[in-house]
Amino acid sequence: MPRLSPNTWCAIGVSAGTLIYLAEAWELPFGGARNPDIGFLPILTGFIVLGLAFLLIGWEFFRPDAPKKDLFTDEEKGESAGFKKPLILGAAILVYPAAFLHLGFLLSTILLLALSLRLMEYRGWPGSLIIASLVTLSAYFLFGYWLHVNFPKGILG
Amino acid sequence: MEGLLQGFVVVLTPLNFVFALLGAFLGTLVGVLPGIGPIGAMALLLSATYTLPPSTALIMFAGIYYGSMYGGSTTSILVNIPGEPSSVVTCLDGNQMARKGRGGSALFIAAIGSFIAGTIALLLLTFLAPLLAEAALKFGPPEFFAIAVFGLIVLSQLSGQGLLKSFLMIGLGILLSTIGLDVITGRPRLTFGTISLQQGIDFVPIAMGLFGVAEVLQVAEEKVKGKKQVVRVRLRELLPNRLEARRSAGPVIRGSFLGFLTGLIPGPAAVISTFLSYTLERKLSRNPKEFGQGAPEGVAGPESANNASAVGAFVPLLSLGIPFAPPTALLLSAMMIHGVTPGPLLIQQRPDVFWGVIASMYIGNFMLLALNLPLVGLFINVLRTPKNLLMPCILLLCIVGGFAVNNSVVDLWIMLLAGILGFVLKKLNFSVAPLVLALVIGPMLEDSLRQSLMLSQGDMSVFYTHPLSRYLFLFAGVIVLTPALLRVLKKKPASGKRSAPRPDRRKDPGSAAG
Repeated sequence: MPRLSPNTWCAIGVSAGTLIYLAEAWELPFGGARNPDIGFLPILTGFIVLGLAFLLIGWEFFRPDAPKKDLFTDEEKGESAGFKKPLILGAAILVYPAAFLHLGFLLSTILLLALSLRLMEYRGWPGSLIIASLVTLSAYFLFGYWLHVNFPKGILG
Repeated sequence: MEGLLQGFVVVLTPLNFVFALLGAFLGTLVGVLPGIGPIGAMALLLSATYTLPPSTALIMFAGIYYGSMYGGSTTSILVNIPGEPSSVVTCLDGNQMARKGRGGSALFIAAIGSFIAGTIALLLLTFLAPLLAEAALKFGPPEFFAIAVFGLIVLSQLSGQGLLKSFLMIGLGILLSTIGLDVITGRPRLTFGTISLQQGIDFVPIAMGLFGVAEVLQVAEEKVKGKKQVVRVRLRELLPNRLEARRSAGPVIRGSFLGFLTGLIPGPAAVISTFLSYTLERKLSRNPKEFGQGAPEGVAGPESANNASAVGAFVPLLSLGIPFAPPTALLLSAMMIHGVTPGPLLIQQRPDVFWGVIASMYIGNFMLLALNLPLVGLFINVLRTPKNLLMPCILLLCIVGGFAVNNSVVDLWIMLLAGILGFVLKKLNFSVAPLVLALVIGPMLEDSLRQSLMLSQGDMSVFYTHPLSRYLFLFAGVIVLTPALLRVLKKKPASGKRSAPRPDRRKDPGSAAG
């Protein structure tokens, strides 16, 4: 598989997102120049963004000297530790809102924080869990009690 | 003058005074800490200000914004790590001065320069903002549409990633801004059948995700580093010598005016102003070779410029209700959450907010001077907090802040997804600033475009017949076309020498395209 430049990757992602958006926007009434309706700007902008994304892909395609760098190893003067850690944390972040609803704020946040502390190599698992618990409890009392933020209690409720 | 006095009455109440001090302190703190900037800090604190009066909350947020400009210099000078992007230039000479034992002097020059620049810029803001607000009362939808387009076009040129990439990000921001209830008819659209998206995509979770969560993911990717080398400074070493003071005076004054003017332009004005000031000072200096080796002008000019630009950015916000930079976009959000409608009518409808914020900045300037120099040791100790402990705490604050804005799990989803998107865009070398601003300006842009077309019965010449809109569109066209024309003109004489390869030309396709 040929390696794609960062710009091409981004343009492909934006195109995909815009196509989904346009599929939804297509249902909206467009109106006309005299009386632009609620679909006027979304459809117009959607097509413009799609055009720009294709233009960027074309630009990259016809310029073979485009830089095709490895995103996680050669950046920032070799200071990257690879893609695994952000990938694991990203996955945890995606799961978090579901856990937040079902397990509640305290449990889900303690787990997420402990994982991120461990991934960032602050302490081992026991230390990370203790620090995560302390920080989360402090936040819970500060925001939940003092500022009356209504956190879901989950299985602890 | 009467309005400003009223502002001082507002800010000198005990509650507002305490929150101005708190804002200045927090601003310095986030300026010192690399990773969490004023946008993240303001977004996190938004939910904590719901119970406060609007003027109090906005006074604190303004303090955070301009305070962060002060704080950024401390880390640049003493650790060679810029706390804020606008302090990158200060590293060049500030850290060199510190290495030569003149760290205290560099800190003093930065603080005094920031204070003088802040005061000069505030005087300009005090006189300019009401005048512009009065003029803006005569603006109609075509003018507002032209201002929005002009702002986004200028931003796309200045975001440093080239036109094509910037336009793509602007487009993405506008697409996101259209989700939810339609501004004119009140009908829901693009909600994908969910009720939760009817409220639209709020700017605050997006900003927290793009600037806060993305930074956490970025740090997760970095290798764990050892302790930072911090240059120690004693209080008695703070005063600069006579030569340093004399060499700094001119750059401070020039930086003040340059910074203020740059602040009026859309985009990362604070960063641009520092580079402009540094270049200007090097050109004017009798000893240009000293730049990069510890020239006091290299600290005084850029530090004054970034503070003045932060104040300058309040002009379009307070008088037109249009934010030209991400931090002022967050201030706009804060205003709206607190029921304050920003725009030309703000000065008439809420003089307490308008003048209170301006007056608080005068007082905040003194507070920052008093805070920054004696407490430099405290801020340096904060800097010693390991990043791998700090970032999970920031993640927690983002989660709490993102949820607390509307007590909504959808907002939490949006914030976390925006964080992942921000990280990916960072890896792909795309700047998110145009996206963020387009998301904020989007509703105004759509509203004014549709109103203009309805009023003119679909006649596009409405944007040409209104003088301000005509000149803004012409100016925007010039801004877009000039770099391309210059590139073509530069290419022509070299067309005979095509054999030499130029690998750097395609460094960024967006820039080549623009």
